[in-house]
Amino acid sequence: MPNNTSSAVETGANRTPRRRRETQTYRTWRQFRRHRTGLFGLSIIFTLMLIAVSAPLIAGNQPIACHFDGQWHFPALVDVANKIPFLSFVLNKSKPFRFAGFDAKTAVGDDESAIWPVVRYGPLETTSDGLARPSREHWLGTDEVGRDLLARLVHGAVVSVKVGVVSMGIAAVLGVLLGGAAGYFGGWTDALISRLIEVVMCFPVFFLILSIMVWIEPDINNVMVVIGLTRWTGIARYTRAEFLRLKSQDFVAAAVVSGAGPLRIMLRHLLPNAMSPLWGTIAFGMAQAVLTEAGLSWLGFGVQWPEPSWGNLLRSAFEHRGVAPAMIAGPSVAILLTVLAYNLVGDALRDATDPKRAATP
Amino acid sequence: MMPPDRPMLDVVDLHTRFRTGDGVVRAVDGVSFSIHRGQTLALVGESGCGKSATALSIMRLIDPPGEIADGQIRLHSVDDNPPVDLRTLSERRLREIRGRRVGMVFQDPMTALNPVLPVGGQIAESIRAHRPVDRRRAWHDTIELLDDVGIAAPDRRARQYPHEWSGGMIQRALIAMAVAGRPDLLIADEPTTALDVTTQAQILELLQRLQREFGMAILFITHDLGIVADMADDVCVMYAGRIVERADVRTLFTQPAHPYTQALLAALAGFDRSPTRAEPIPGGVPHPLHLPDGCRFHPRCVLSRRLAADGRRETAVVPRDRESVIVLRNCIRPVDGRDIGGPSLRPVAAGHDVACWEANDGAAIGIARP
Repeated sequence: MPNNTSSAVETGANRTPRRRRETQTYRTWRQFRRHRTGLFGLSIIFTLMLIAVSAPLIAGNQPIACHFDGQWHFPALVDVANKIPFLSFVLNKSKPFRFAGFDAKTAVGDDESAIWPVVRYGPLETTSDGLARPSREHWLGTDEVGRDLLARLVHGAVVSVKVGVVSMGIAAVLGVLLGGAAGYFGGWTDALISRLIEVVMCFPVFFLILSIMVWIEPDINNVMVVIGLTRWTGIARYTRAEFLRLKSQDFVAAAVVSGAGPLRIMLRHLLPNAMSPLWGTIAFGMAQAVLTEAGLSWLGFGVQWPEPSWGNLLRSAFEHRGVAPAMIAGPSVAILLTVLAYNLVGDALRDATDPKRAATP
Repeated sequence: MMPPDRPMLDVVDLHTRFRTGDGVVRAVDGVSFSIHRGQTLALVGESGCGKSATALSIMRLIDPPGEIADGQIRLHSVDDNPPVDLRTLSERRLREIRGRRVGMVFQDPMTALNPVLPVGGQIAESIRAHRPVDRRRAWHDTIELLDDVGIAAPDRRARQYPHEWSGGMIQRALIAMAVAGRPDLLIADEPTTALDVTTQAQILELLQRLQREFGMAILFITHDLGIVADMADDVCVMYAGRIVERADVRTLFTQPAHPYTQALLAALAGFDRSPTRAEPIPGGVPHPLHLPDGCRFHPRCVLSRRLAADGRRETAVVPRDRESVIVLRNCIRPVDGRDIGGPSLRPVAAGHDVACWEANDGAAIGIARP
């Protein structure tokens, strides 16, 4: 027995224990995981994204699956698939899933075998039942022309998710490029970009966006681009500061002396090291973007009626607050939860990437 | 010892300065030396005397507000091509030289690798930077290199991140990275300072082996005279941005001529195994913005002090900074008060240059320990 143990110790000493690869991302995730509120926020965001992607499966006037005329059809699934560029191309080539003028509601009666979404109304589908209170038929009630509010809320999530991701994507690319160039090249480039950042930061962002939106077509894509073009300054300043700090590190000098050019230095050595403080900023930016979009839509500069967005849902609820006060609950809770979730995730990311905390195992 | 043929690198009258808010710091002030193929030149001195600034100047790594103000850094080629001046070379051509013809190893191994990339990836990257090989070939060569510099289980180790490696291992990896392009010249800027003594010896041994194998010249920067005795063929002693003594390693240790060199040797405890205490050099390196007039070492110089005390040297009261201080007129020179800068290097023997007005050779001054 003692012999066994000693030999086991010897072999154990000879090979290092197999453990998870300690990448920066993994270390960040390990820190993040310990943050309960962050995980809560992340789960809300994931749920929201799931809802946005599968909106036609949750609320719509097309069945998810139905048997009609001796064939199976999946109209709502096709709606989902159509949003994904590559998949829609394949589906349209392979088989006509849905024929023209197919009205599922009349074609497939309740007695036919069909699987319906939870809410059987489309976001634009009107009924004769205007401004109805919440009921078993309409869980959140209806608006002034009888559209189901839950259906509109679910489909409005698409806009919120898109705005957050796309606008901050634009802002992140712009911010990293400009801030990185300023930090790396210094001198005139830095002076010019830093002044540009200061000029953009001078304007109150919401009013800057408002005054731009006055001149261009009020459209969700324009809103995303404009938010992206005005929200990059924070990311740029972080990137610039990180590049300045990292530029003078030994490993950059070591890369230079082994013959690396500026592009390789920036992309391989500076950017990966500069990313971690950016994630938090991006998450906070997404919360801001969701709020901005809701505000713009509320004022009528964002998503145009009758297309649903949480902002214009809130607007119509506000207009009918005397008759149907319950209308306001759905969109306001949705906005609150989403913004809260992004902020919680941002907080947790900021803590997880804080080098002062990273030392604790 | 192989005969010194044509030099690999000629540094001629190098001036590197940093413009600061308070004035211009002359970090390197007229430094000249040559390194020959297959030989090691050690640059020795206390912290802040311009050793690293010299190395960074050769690599052209001086960033604003610093600049290489004057001088030539002539890198000779192995074949008969004319030498290139690294000071005036374009950034693009410089990139071809860095890593391929001149490699560099840094002082602190723990910060010299990118923390977010695996070690092997970084070496492979530097291989691909100067050789047109594909990813797999570069990875293969990386494993071979790591094996060559004595990393056990190199294929597994190469996939790890720098924080999973010890300082000595990283220094080996950095040396592997620096010699990956088979450079003619390797600049080692205090490569063992951050390592413990046993690891130091291994790293030095590794450098010597690689030098024998590749025949590269090494510019070795250190403040450790023990390492100098072990590694160097020739030695340049630097003080306050200038070379004060230049000799081959044997001459320097047996017949040091400059009082500073003698003081450095006296500060080396038990160098000649005599049971004496190490003798510290009084004072510190002068502030680079307030260098003393004349010989920059004279405020700390035992020779200067002794000669004055013996009454064999004139002293004078010179007003400076609202205070009058007694300084040794003869170590400032000339007497009319016009500062002509310190003494310049002059030969005291064949291949032995000293920048001191008073020193003749080591024996004549005889700064002995008590």
